[in-house]
Amino acid sequence: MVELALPRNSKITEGKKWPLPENHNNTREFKVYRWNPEDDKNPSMDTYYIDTEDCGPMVLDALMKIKSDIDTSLTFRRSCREGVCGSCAMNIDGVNRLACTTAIEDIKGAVNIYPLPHQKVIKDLVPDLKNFFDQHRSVEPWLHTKSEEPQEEWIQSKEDREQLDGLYECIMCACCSTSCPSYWWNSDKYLGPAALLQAYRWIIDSRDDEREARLDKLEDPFKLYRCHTIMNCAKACPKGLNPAKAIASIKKMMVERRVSKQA
Amino acid sequence: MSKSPTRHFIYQRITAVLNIPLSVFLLYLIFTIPSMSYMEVSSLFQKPHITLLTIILIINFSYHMKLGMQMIIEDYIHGANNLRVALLLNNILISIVIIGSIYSVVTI
Repeated sequence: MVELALPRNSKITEGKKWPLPENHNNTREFKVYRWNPEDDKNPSMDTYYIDTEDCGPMVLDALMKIKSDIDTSLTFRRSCREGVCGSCAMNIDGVNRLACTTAIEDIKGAVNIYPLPHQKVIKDLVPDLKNFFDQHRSVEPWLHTKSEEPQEEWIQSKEDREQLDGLYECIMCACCSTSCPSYWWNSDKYLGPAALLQAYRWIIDSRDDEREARLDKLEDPFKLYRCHTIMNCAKACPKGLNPAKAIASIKKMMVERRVSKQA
Repeated sequence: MSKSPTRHFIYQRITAVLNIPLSVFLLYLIFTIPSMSYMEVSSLFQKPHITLLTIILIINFSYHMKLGMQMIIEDYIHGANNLRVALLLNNILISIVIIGSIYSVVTI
């Protein structure tokens, strides 16, 4: 049934407060979620102070500064540091976004940093995204074709290729899915905005021959229809994509298919 | 649980659109009935077109509510058995509402 309160061991406590740096004219306060599976302690919010003149402009720069100069035990994912890989997705100042493309100066007051919401935490800011990637795999995000393989490249018209704009750019950072309340309640059964955006990307690919089979797979009360057009996904996407629109387009195709079958 | 989720989706939209003109009729009833005597109300519902519209209103509103409640139940009730029981209770409740309301209208 519905859980109305957090389990006792999930309640967040006040953590360690690290000292201010010597030159603290331009310091910013960072409150960072900490949890270590190897001790029995509850999660806590540690407080760090960073001299912004001695640090890059982005939140990821601050986290790397903390890790290299203050607290080497802080754990987070990062790779490209330019908004391409999606590794450093986390909840910053109450919004799911990429630490590498979020400027410290755009956030007022203390910078609160949590892992992506409603996912199991592996450690500190690292969420367990196994289910998320399993769902992505389940939509079979690759070309299905029955036609003979061409000798050169698969030809696609400019118009057909334009259909994929706004879809193929997804970096699978999980900001959208983990901002969706429907995904929070039913992430085991609802595919979530990211996987459905990818599903639509392959459904409308002019080179794919399995459109009907792909739609058949989504004909399920949970996989697709848990989307209630809340639109948090479109608001959270750091690449400016609109998964809600893609989901609405899949639903439209489902309706058209159903109506044409009955006609 | 809905065996045909697309049909559920379509019916939810159709009943929602039908609810718009039916709401106008409902507002008409809400604003006219309080100033009428019992006999006047009784004779109003003797008129076949009023009775028919009221029955359509009851069925459409109730069915739309049933579909919406089903969505909410599927969202929040976890576990196959709990879900089955909650959906059954939803169907029973809506059936009682529809039958009771139509009986009231017809026998007024």
